[in-house]
Amino acid sequence: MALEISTNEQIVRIVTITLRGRFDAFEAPSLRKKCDDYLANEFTHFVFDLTDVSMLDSAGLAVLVSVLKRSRLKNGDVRLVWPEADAASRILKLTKFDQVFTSIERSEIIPRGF
Amino acid sequence: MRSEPIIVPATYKDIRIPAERLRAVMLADLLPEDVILECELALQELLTNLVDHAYGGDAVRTITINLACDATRMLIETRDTGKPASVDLEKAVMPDPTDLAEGGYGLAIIKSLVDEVNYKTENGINIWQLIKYLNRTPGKEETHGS
Repeated sequence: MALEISTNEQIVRIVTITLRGRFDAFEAPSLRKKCDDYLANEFTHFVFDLTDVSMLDSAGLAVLVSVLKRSRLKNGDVRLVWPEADAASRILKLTKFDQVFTSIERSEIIPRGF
Repeated sequence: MRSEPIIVPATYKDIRIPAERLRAVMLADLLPEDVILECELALQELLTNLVDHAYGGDAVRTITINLACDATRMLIETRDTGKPASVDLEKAVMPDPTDLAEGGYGLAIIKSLVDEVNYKTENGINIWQLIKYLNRTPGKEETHGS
């Protein structure tokens, strides 16, 4: 009996967005717009590199949550490279989103991604 | 130590100024970084709430911030003339993160960062007070914070 071969190819669009500085209510709208554009262009997987984010507030968090929610609707996901500054990681911990977002190391972005 | 009142337009950009002033005041009092950080984040969340909810993005309006620090506590007070807040401070809890809610975190975050959150209105002025105790107080195990 001949070997049966079935294949399943997928093209997954992944974007890595690196942020640096304060990610607060003032900056949140511009990132939301950028992510809206990526989602509209069929990107489904997002990596946010927050390593150099100096401060994150709930408005910034809301953008990350929004992207997570919408990417999951398209069978995508969001991964975070954890911020080094306490002023950025504190909100993720307080809101317990550190248990919702999957975190990866910065070194994993290029070779693995997902 | 009490700072001069800080008056800023109710915009996301301008509300960064009081946080910088707060840091300067607390650094001058040699307070630890984690306490400064908690107060900064609490103030940022409060001011963002005022821009969004009290003034609904009306950048012409202003917010006044008073900062006072003594041996026992850091007091952050804001005054605005916007829409009165209709919140039950006792019932403000952190949303379940698995619900992926995009809002409703601000007040719960503030409550988790400082020891007291008070709100009142006087003659059409909304007054919020955030208090962070700096020394061990009855019923608290930690030297600071909650």
